[in-house]
Amino acid sequence: MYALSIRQLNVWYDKQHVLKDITVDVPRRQITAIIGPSGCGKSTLLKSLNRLLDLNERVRVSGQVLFEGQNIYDPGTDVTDVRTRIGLLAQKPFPLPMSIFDNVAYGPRIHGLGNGHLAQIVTAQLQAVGLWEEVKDRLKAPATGLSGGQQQRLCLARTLAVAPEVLLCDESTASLDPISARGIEALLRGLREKYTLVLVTHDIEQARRLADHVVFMWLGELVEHGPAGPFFAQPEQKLTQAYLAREIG
Amino acid sequence: MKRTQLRKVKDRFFTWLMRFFLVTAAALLGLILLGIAWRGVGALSWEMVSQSPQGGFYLGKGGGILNAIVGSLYLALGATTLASLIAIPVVLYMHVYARGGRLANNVRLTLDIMWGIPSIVYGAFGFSLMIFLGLRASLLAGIIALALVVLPILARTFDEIVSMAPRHLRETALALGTTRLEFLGVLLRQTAPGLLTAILLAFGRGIGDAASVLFTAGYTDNMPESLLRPVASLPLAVFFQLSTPFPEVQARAYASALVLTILVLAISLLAHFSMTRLGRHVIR
Amino acid sequence: MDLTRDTHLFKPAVKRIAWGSRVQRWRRVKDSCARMSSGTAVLIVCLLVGVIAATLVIRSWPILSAYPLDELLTGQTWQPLHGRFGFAPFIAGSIAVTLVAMMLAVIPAVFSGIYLAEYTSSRARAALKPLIDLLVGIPSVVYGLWGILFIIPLVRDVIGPWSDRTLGQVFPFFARTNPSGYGLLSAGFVLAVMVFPLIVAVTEEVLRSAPREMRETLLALGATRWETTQCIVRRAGLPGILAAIVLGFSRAFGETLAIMMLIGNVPQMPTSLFDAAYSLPALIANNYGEIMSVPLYESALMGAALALLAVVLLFNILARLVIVRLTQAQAR
Repeated sequence: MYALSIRQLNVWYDKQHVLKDITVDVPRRQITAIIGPSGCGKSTLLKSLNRLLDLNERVRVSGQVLFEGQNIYDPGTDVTDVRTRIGLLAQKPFPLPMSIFDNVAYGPRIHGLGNGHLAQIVTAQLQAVGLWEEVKDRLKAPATGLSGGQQQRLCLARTLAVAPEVLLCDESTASLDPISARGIEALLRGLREKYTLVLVTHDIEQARRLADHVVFMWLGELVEHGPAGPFFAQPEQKLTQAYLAREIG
Repeated sequence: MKRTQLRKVKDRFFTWLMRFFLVTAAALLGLILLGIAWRGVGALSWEMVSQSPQGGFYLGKGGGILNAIVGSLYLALGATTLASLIAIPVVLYMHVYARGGRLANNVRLTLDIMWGIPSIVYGAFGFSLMIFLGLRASLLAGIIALALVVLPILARTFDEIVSMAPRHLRETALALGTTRLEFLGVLLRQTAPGLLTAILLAFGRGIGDAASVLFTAGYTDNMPESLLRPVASLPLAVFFQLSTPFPEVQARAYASALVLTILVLAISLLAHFSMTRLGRHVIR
Repeated sequence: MDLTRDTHLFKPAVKRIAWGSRVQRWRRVKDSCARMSSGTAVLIVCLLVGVIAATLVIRSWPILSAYPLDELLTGQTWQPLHGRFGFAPFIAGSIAVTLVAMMLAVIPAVFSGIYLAEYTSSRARAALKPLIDLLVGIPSVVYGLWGILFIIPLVRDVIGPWSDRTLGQVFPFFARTNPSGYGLLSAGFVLAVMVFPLIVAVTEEVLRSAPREMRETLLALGATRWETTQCIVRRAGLPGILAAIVLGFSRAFGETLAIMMLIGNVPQMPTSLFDAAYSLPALIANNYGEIMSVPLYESALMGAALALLAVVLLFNILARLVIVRLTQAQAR
């Protein structure tokens, strides 16, 4: 079964056609990696999945994104609800300007989850991302005091605290040092059990390490997609072969 | 479920509240322009803007407010020039010689505080200065007081514009071996359209300010003749005409206010366009 | 390989450096001249506020030394001809009219600023911003005129009688004490409209400068737009919005002509929203003509200017301290 089905999705930025007729499915409880050179529209595709594109009024969208059978671009859609169920881990860690505890607690608080056992949720999520031991003595300290890798794990905990079904990761390791990046990768691999993950990366090796399913984009078009094994072993398209061999991009 | 509902209702409520405030305020402000235009157009005539007051002007007889228009322009022009002579070096010093230092921040703070000082206080100070120098109410005294009012406006606006200049401009220029003064020239060229905007803004504010020139520039029915003689100004012309008990003269107050408003709006628009249209040598 | 030796290509350059040393020196002289002259301008600006304050103190010294300070500040009678200089009605009038204005303006203006920053498209904003700047620049005499044209009749014929019939029966504060319409409410209302664009402009600017990622992060957590806005305002915008309010306050407190035209100019302690009152700037502006004829009069008016300056400076400094505190608290 598929968690997300993208149907003939087109996106324009002003007059520029940045996503052209994308049709692809995202399998449930697997890691789907979107790869391609920079500027190919992978981040745009990712942000179209939880309607964060709405923030930019110069963007126009046509087509459908079916989330559990419902088109999230239907006029009657509850965007807030969509974004709650489809979380995002951004490229750069961006802790909200509040304490470590409040960063994780913010989501549950606004959603009215866990009244009374907020501390439990925060603890559990910080443990899940392996940050608990490092911060348990300074939960009231500002989150901006953490290192880059710690911040990104905090952001992951913050996203998971609202209990999303899908997790979107926009090159979430690109701004980190290699060791922190590996830490985040390990966490993401572990999350596959419970969540559907979609991640954007320009790092082919990372896609090899993590992905169950790969989507390759080129200049706004979907070139090839499929299960990771065959995709990397025997890509069908010339373009894909060239890209994987690093001849282009 | 109930909680989600409540959150949504709140969201909608505040959105509409904000819209309501914005529309109400916009309507009130629109009403100002329309009201002045509506009352002013009736009394506006070529005579109004092309002649000085004649005998019995304030009793409803002939004449116009040319003396006030010209006086206001002289005052604002003088004040802006004087303020530029101080403000431009100050801003350039902040950005070229004392960049990022505490001095620059302290100057900025001082200018912000000066911006908040009421213009009547500058008027009172100007009045004291005038007496100290042995002057009487005159164009010169008015220019000095008004210059103090527009100085912080001019300096802070220009400062903001210089702050927006690309950061690499400094490295590029200094790497070519320029002295700071020569870099200053480069910076000035980069920010020239912005400087013009700042000057025009200050000029517009200068024309509209009345409290500072009230007792420094005085008032006269004659055209401005000398730096040492009193001079009329538009805001005061409006005020004095309104103070008379005659409806014909009061109607002229509205016409004068219309002239003043048009003048200020034109300058403001000009300032806006100078920012967007000018600047061939500006890196964006 | 040594290129500097006997390469004919290099010779002119050697010459230029020799010739250049004088140029170099001249450039350096020019540079330090510019540095010194612009430094002087900086010095002038830095000293200016002090000079203004000192001048006002000196000029108002005769009256400050002739009467004890508390008598000047709390005295309620203003009869310069009889040597009685009580500033209390003017101080009270100024504070009252500013409070009325801020009460009416702050919440709508801050909300409008928030709306412009967070809810409108960039195209609408690009059209509205110059309009707001335009409104900030409209001369106060025009606002005053508008007040006489619309607000005075409105207060006199509609709001006044209505308030008197309803709230005024219970609270004397809302009783219509003066049928002319000229008074605190009219002046405060027009003042509110005057400072509105100012507060909107600054609020909008402050919120626009909040990082885009913050908005995205909050929305991606499933916050509604209002919740996102709330968080941004509270966590990133509060010091700036406070600065906007202080700016509005300074402007309102020192406003002269518009208030003078609308407040009624009666030196009494206001007890009702509809009372005519008198403000410090209006006191100075109305009486400059008679300065010479009455002993101590000029000194008294300079004292009023000094009081005005002191209040504005004090308020600015206090606000700045609070802003610094808030900024530090937010970093935590």
